[in-house]
Amino acid sequence: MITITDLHKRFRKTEAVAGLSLEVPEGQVTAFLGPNGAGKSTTIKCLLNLHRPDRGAIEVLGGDSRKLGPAQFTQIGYVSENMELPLWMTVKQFFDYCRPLYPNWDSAFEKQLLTQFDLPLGTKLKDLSRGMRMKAALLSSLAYRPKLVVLDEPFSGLDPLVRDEFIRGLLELTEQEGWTVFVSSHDIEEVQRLADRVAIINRGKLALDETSDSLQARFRAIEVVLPDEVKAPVNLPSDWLHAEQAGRTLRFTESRFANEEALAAALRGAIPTATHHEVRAMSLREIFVALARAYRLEGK
Amino acid sequence: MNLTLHHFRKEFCYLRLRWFAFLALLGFDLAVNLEWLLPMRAGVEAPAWLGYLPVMILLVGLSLLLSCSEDRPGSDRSFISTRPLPWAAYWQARMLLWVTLIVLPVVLQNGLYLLLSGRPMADVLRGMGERACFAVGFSAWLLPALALWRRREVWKALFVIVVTLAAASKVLDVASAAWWKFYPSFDQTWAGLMVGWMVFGGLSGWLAWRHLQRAYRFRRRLCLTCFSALVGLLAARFWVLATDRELVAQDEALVRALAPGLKVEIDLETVHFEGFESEFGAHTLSAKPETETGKPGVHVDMRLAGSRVVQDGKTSSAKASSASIIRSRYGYGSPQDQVHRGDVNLRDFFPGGTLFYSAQPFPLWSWEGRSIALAAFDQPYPSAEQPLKLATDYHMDWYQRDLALELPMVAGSRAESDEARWEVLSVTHAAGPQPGALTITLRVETRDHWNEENGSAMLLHSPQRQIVWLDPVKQTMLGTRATHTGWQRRQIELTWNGIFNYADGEATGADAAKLRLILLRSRFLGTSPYTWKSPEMQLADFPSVYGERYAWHESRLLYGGRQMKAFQERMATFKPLTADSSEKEARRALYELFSTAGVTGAVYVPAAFPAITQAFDPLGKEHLPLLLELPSSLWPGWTNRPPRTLLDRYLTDDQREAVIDRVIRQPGLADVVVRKGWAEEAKRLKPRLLSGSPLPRGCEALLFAWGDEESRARLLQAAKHDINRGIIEELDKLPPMRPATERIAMNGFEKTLPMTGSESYLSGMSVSLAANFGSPEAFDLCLRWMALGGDLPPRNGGYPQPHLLTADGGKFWEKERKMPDHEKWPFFRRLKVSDFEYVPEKRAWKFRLP
Repeated sequence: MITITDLHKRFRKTEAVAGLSLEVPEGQVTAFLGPNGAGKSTTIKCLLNLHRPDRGAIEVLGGDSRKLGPAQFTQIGYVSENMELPLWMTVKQFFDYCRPLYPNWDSAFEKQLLTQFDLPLGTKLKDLSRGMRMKAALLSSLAYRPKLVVLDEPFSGLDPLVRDEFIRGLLELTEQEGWTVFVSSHDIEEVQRLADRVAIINRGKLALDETSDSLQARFRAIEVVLPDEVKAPVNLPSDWLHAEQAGRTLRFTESRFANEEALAAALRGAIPTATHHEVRAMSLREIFVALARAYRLEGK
Repeated sequence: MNLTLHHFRKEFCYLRLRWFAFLALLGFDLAVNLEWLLPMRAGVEAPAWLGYLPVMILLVGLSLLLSCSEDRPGSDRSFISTRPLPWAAYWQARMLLWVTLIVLPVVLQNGLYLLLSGRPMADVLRGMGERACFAVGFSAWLLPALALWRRREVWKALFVIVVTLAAASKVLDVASAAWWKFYPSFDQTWAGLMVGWMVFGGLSGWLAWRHLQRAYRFRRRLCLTCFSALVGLLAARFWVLATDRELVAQDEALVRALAPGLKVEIDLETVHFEGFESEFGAHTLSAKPETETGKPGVHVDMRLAGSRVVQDGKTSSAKASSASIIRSRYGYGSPQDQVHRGDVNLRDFFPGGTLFYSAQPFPLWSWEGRSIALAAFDQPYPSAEQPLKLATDYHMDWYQRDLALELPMVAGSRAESDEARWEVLSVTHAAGPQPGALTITLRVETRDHWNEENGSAMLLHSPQRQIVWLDPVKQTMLGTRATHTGWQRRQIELTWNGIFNYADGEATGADAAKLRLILLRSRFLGTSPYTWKSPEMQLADFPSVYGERYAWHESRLLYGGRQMKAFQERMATFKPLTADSSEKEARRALYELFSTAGVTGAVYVPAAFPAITQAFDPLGKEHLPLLLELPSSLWPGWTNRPPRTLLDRYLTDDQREAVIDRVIRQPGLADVVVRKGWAEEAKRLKPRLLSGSPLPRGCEALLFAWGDEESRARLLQAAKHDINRGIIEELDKLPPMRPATERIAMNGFEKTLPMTGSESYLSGMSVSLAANFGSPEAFDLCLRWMALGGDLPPRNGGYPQPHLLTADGGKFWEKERKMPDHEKWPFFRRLKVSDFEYVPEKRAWKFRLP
């Protein structure tokens, strides 16, 4: 659905995106993660033809992103955290304006979404809360059943309750409609329930692109107990991230976990004096934090 | 189209409140312009805030185009950027908004105003067209600006563009001032301004389109926009030069009908030449032509198009500078300038004997015929010493003047013409800066379209006193409505001094109801071609103004009262000249003598002449050829008596031929030749002096000495164009010449416009000459002019002084000098022609009573 090849985009001295290549498969929810300033929004703006890439190519819905026009936008739904909406309009006026723009606007679906999102039609957008405003924007981007939904930090600034509602609604719809969703966030917690795949961007480059299941299978939190006054060796395997020793306990993240036996063998090889170890599965959030820390250290 | 209207509806929905406010402002403006609200009343000044109303309308109008930030194209945040609204539909909707919400209401409001003001349909349509250009020009540039700039960028861009334009404008002004042929700065017009704005709008549109295609960075957009603004500025400035200066002919059919009958007379006696010595100017040969169109109220102005010079069988052409090729709508030669030509405009409309009075020391009005260029020479110059012939092409610009409005000076009186409507709202006596002033409040409605061609002047005529006041002493604008609509309304307070009382307080006896307020108008009819062919002539025969000296006013003030002593003291500090002194030393001594005599002002003090003559003496004695070379025009005083005395003293018969040879180039020597008794020998100069070229100033002495028929005829010819030269009085002493001299004096009077002001010296000279030659009308005019003596503005040329004799035959003016002003002016006022008898043999008027 989206193919990004060697994307480069520079703003004066800052290289926002530096050779990003990524594929977003059809029918899946891809979480596009990265710390603030990693280049997520720039990538999304490039793929929607809001920014012109300096180098590289982006294919969206089978066509060049630079040629995206009204015909393609009838199949793309886009919601961004900093999108300027016609705040002077009521919710009804807003939908009335959007409706004629889309030949495939589904009014019944619009009503269903209205009920689902519980939006007050007579209220002006400027009088709505931020969460409700995002819901209105989402509704205006979904009611025509787009093939591709692009969400740029849709949850930032929302309180947990609203975020949960929003995510739940989106999750239900995605499951129902089988949409391709490309959602960016700087916090994996927001999207871990949604995402089929996770792509992580760091300093404008793709750091990881994997399904959630594979990611969760690959990462483990390890605690090793050492004898008294034994220090862990300095050169531990590179797959073991953030090794930290506190007293007799050495903690690290195994990023290439295969099975218990292989881990035990690796532990024996690296720390022969280890007396005991424990293995724990990690949440996507923990994996993301571990990776983010690792990237930061790499950068230094 | 559906999406266009759909988006238009959305925008309109957003803008409607602001648009209604805009309409309300336009409605208010219309009501104010039509004076349904805040009407102009006598003595009531308009509220100051009314002046800001057009600005407010403009700002609210422009704000309609800056709406809906969520729609801003080119913004990565705008809601519309990822919606399937085609750009064509978006821009069509914007254009529709612009036209229907801004341009159309503004144009309709103007049309409505003109219709309700009773203007003819042609004027209504023209006014609406001009207003459409105005609205389009001032707002079109904002349409692309939306696509070019994001929120904060707008202010940065605005600042940089304004600074760039201000700097560029200044550079253009300086360039205009420094390079006189290049003056795009000063003649700015509305049409030019609109063109500039539209060019800027067009280029911005192109830039916005490119930006949407290629996403230019801010710096690049800024540079390109500044460049567009500069192109717009140049377009606005140069538009005037390219097209806008050309006047629109208003009656070419009349020009075609009158052109064959046009009579042009160029008397070589009036020709003078700038010379090739000057580093400045166009080296022009000029003359004062006399033209006769054959139709009263119509005159022509001659404009040099180019000339061909034939010398030694070779023809060279001299093109006129661009300034003279184009008839300007502004400045010199414009209809407004033409209306102030008293010589062609005023005489036809007022009875003979009318005195034209200007309160200004340097009035805009002129009465002497204007000089025109016969040729403007470029390098390589023709030889000044060789004969040449000229064929000069002219554009003859035809003007018609008329008294467009005339109304009595009574409150409530009205008059109307096709392009103006006047109403006197109030008349107040003695309310001006002086007693006897007249102040009126006048309501003026005038046609006020762009590039208006007609010139106009406001005159006050008192048939009772036979005076026309050419300009009010004070003019105050009390209120203006409907500026630049095509029909402007103003309320003006005008004041003339000395209407009911003279400056000393004595009543004039004038009746306000008998005064007439007049609008004199000058219309440009069209242009016809004309070619003048000269006889064979030499440029060297014509007097050159180059090298004339100016009075040393500041130095004269410094040495006031002790000129002779200062001269002597300073001369004593220089090394005395002896027989052994070299020519170089002699020249230096001459220079020092000149500068000292000039700087100290001794040249203006007759008592100092002996001292100056004494200082000259070594020069005359030892270096006489140097004095012979000295052109009389270089002498920095009004007499060359000191050097002349020395020439008389030291010239001998040996130098006779050399002196005679120099007479044509140094006419001051003619007098010396006559006094030395060499007039017979000088007869070899006769053919040259009798030829058609101007009689060199000073050579009349030779002609008088010869005294034959031919010489007298030549003197009469010279006197015709130079009545202040004294030739006519000299000729008049010869009884056979009297009828001819009388004819010249009377002709001069007929052509003269008796006008006070800085030029009144020459004007008064003609009037007093005619009075001296026995014209009762001229004498009556002199008396009335003299009666105004106390009212004449400072630095005025004074009043004419005809020859007057006291009852016992004494010279009146010698006694007059002893009269104090407070006695003099009332004395003059009581004089009538009947109080005098004319004494023809003395060419003077004699008091009947003591």
